[in-house]
Amino acid sequence: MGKIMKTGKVVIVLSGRYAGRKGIIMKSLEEGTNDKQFGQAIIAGIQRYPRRVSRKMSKAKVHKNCRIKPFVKIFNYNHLMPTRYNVSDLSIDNKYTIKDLKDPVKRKKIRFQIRMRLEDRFKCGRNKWFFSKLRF
Amino acid sequence: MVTQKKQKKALESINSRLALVMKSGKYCLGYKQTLKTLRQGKAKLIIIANNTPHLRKSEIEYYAMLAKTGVHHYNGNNIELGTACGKYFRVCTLSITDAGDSDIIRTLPEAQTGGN
Repeated sequence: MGKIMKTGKVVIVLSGRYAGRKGIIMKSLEEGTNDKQFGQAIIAGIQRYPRRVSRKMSKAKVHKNCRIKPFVKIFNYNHLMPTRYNVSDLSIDNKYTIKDLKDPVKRKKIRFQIRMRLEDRFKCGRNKWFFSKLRF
Repeated sequence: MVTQKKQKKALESINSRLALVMKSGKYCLGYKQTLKTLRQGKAKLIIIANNTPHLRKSEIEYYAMLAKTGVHHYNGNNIELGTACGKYFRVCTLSITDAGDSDIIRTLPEAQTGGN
């Protein structure tokens, strides 16, 4: 009888522009906020997945293919499908709040931070399932 | 013949336990609410009727696996499950959040591994 939506859990977005994309729960707001009282979570996800890399490719091409375009968005729990996978200790500064996400400059900074962390994780070769595109 | 009789007896006992939960415990009827209780970790037992769509059944089982909650596949369709809950509508999934006086949570998962 445990809570499912914990930070670090890999989640599949079910509806909206990012439907079918995988994401990680950065922060879960079980009771929502004052003006939106439903379960929500701040998700950092992948908008454009990294492409496949092979041994024959040149260094420049590998660098280009490993790029990830992330998104950061608040989702209603109903629009997420939790999975059994976890992306543990992605050292992203968790101190940002929903208000920070509303500021476009801060949002861009957060997105850049997420992008750097995700690309590092991808190049390490860990969490392979998370970085593979969900085919449907 | 013997298994039929055994199934019928098991079904009656589940029905009586469910009736006790309806009277004394807390429960949530319906797909959306059972998912809510599963996400919050409040569900103690999930009961699914046998004619729920397979995709929905798998989805609820997956959620229950993540939440480490037991799932019982009720031996009857949604009409029968609704009647067993004492309601005049159909119930495909229900989640028990507080069993009250009933022992349904303790006894049911064992019965499931036995042979429902």
